[in-house]
Amino acid sequence: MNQTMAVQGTVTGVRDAVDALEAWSDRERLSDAARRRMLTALDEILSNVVRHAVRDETALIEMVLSRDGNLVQVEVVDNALPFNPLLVPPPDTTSPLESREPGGLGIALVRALTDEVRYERREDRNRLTMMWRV
Amino acid sequence: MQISQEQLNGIVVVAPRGRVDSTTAAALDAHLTELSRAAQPRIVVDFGEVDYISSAGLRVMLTLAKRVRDARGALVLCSLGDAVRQVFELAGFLPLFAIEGSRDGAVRAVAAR
Repeated sequence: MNQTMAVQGTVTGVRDAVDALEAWSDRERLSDAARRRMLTALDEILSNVVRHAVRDETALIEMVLSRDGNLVQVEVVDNALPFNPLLVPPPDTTSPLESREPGGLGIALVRALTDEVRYERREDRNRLTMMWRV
Repeated sequence: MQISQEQLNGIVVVAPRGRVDSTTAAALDAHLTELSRAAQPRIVVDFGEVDYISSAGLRVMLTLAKRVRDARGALVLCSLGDAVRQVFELAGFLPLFAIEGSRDGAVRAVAAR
């Protein structure tokens, strides 16, 4: 069953959204492996929105969970300034410990842990859609 | 996330349980930072009860590795489940850490340093 929820742009809001996705994935009887990929990717996207995009109390973040057959989809919509996380350059994953910087890892994980990810700016909203075949 | 801890012959074994993500990373970071202040800290982080780790958790581990190295201590990770191992691998983190299959193996590895 599809589900939509408003998410506060705070750590608590992110936790609530991750809890909701976990409960939804249990109801949909998704595998542990699929559930973990989805929760990890959602944490990356929402923490990114909270860190980079949310500037004031009028911020709106919405999460839409949906399923069509074996295709599950998590959409995150926010009304912050335009920001396409998919344009973040890939991280350094090869240099030694001394020079390793953790930037960009989150989006790289999202790309790797989803079957498809799309960004769209529409109606003054950022819309990030992650999809998995389960 | 909960954190349990035990001491074995001067080696501290830390076992987070549950999610290690943006909502819990600060608590884990505070815990591990405190431990890494010891002279030559000897730390095992047991991931056996970790459901998943996101980049926020990876940042905590990277910081810990640098602190332990700077303090000439020893750090070994163990019991990475498939989901955790996959994230370490995707991030290119596997070569940065000593990783053992079991807690016993990790404790032996730290003791041998």
